[in-house]
Amino acid sequence: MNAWGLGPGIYPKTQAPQPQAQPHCLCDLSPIIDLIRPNPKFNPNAERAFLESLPAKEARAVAGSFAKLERAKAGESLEAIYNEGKDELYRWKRVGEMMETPQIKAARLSTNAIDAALVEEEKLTIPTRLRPVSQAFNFPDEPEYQPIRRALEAIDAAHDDGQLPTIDVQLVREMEDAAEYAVDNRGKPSIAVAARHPAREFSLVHENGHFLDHQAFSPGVFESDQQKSAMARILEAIRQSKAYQEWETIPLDDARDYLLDPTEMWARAYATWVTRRSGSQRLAAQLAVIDQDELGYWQDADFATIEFEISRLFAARGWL
Amino acid sequence: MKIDHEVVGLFETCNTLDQLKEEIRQVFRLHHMDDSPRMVNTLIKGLMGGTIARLDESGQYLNPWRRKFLHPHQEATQPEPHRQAA
Repeated sequence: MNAWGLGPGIYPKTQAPQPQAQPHCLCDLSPIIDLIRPNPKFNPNAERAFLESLPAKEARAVAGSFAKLERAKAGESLEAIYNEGKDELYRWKRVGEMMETPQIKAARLSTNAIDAALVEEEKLTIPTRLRPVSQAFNFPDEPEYQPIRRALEAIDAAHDDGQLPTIDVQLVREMEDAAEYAVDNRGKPSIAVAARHPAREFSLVHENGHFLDHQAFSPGVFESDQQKSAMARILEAIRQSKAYQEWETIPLDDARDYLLDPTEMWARAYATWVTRRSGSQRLAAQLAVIDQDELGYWQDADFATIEFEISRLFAARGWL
Repeated sequence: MKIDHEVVGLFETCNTLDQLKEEIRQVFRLHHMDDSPRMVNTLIKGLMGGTIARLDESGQYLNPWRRKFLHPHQEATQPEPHRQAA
């Protein structure tokens, strides 16, 4: 086919089809080095003219079927017809496109560099979670538990965790608050989530903050409450925030004590961090709802240092 | 009397969460304080122990207000203590 006015089967090097271009293709690529001042001009009618020049049976074989042949004769390009519905890996590509693929680029690198590139590529596409938080959660495999699954997906997208015991999660229909982290007299925790609350996913993430605090550092004690807490830098960042300065001025002891309690400050910060890190629009919308309903949250800029410190702690523990 | 004490008294006299919120709002108004839902809800949450609930050996909430206002259905099905003894 003379598609570029250079002669049958001759293409500008980036435009040449990468063999095999079609099932009956017997083409190979070789450079033409004796063209004098070539001036390639694409001819949009070349394919149709080529197909019409072939015996009907051969034209059908090149197009793939009589139906496809008719489409090509009606003006569709063979490239579009071949590539229709195919996985990107199996599409007809041009040599110029192949030169841009990561595989070709990687082939130019040393073996070590290729390995590093592949590891990096895998990290970017598939978050590796050796111990996903969701594995610790025990709840019925029923459709109504979909909000729990959604919240856990966001948590898993945000981070890994350490060794966690299993925890039972229950959806409760008759419950006035969004969720709670309950600890029985033997120290065994469980989580209850209000089935109809509009911020139930975000609330589960908040309770998971309590779960990590209570079980992922020193099992059975709330790490945020300890003198030499692993969360010291996070709590200090919270104390430096503008929001904290406002909470300190509230003239109600019980409300102030709640807002400044390290355990609750940590859980609120953790839930905000997961919301931002996971990129979940649902969690972000629910955070906005909660922020309208109660005190204890931060403006974006006010949260930057807190976010950094949580990421630093989780990275140090190998949870990212 | 401190506002906190007034509010604690309302936890004893009110029967539902909605009633409690409204009564607290009125106390805040009387004292010319911020009576927004954010402030009222935050105070109630503080007095109920945040979102962490401690349970006794029988699985009941140690904070009686938690049971009364957040789990009214459970509260209604609790047996009376003197009947339990029999």
